[in-house]
Amino acid sequence: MNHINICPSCIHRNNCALTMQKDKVWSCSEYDEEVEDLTTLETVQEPKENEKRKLQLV
Amino acid sequence: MTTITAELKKPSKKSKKALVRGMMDNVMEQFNSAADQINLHPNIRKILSITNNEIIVNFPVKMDNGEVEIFTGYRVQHNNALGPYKGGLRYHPTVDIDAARALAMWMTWKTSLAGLPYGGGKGGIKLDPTKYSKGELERITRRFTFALADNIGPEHDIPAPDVNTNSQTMAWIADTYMSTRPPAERTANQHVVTGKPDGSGGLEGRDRATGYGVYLSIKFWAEKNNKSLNGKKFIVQGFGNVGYWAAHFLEKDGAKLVAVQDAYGSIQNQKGIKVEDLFKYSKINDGSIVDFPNAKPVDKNQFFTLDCDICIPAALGNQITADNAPNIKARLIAEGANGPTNVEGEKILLDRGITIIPDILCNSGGVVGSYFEWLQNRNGELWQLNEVMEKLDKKMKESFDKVFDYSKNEGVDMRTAAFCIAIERIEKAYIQRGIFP
Repeated sequence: MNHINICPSCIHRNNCALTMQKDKVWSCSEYDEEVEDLTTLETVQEPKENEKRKLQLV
Repeated sequence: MTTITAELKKPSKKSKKALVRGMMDNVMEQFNSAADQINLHPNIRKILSITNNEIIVNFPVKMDNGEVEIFTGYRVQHNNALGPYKGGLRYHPTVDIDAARALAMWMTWKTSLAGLPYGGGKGGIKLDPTKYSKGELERITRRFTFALADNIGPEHDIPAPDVNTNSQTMAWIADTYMSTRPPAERTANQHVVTGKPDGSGGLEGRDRATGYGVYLSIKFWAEKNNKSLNGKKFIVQGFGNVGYWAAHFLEKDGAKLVAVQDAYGSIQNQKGIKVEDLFKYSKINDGSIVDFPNAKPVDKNQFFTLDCDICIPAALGNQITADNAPNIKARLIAEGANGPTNVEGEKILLDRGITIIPDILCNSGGVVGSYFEWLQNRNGELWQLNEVMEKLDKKMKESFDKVFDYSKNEGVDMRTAAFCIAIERIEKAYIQRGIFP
């Protein structure tokens, strides 16, 4: 048995067409994991339409 | 020259855990086989059979809920006879010292064969990244970097991305490491990691380096055999970075993609599948190639036996085995993935006169790309894409020619030739330098 096995955390683990030997995979170009978007910048809140208009009037 | 005369000890059976059989055994078997072939000096065999350093760090990290969790990180440094240790860092529940050992040793052979001034290393943190927020992952990465401290460094040990780590992870490591240096030295330490984002010292073209290297290996093989790639049919398993870019460059050279397999399914069209069309289709189809309009589905078990000239397994290991090797039509196997052909499968292919460009050579474009990023940072330069590709071309050609010529001259297959060249290069360094004191 190979103890290095990346399949259990791959999003394709249940339907993967590549291999039946999912206990032996240590490297795979199709490996994909559902992780949060790692972008560190915070989302800028867009002003609402009416607030924008108000600003334009001022 | 220093001579060590002690006899090699037989490995202790008692110390061998049943669980570690597998990858480490495979790596050792490949090493021992090549060592026998080149009649490696027993003392150098002893040195290369074990790792130089194994670092285990337990470090605390504050979680989002205010609790503190302890993590275990590893870094194995196998050998640095040729230069700083080089190898990836992976974040995965299966990371442990044994996994890191096998992968570090593999990196030593890979960097040596590629003719780079690097040794081999590997490491990671035992964790499941899906269970942590991005903020927690950042703090885990930074604290791990701090815990490793001077065990890594731009001239000592240079990590890179691996499973579950990416350019963002590398940027955090570089930033943390640089912050621990005196102010005047900080920018001179950017090359402590490779695989950084484009805007933070990363290499332009790093995304296509491995796939381009796969294409080059095929091109060089065709040139050596006086064959043209024009009209040659090829199949690709895996349509990620490696498979896509290899197919992209092969198509530009006149070859015809006739079948693709990814995690979702397999498709075929013997008249040809346009690489860019398939790539665009997979982008809008959640990454899947299934139901591509200009191709028909294929049974996944028949994929490797489809009609073609070149087969590129670019996904995962153990794909070409005794089960499918007798029916493979391709005359050339270019191993874009790591370990796609098992021992039994390889024997059958070689008996049938099918050439295998081994993974250690075929997919080495990635580590060569890392070397270019390191050089670029070290020299304070910014390279253009065409410059990167030209240099990659030159470096891959050198490695390919060495392996091809050795294989012809010694009458061995290309994988054996590749391992022999890699180990001989390290042996030469030890013979020249001797052993301290």
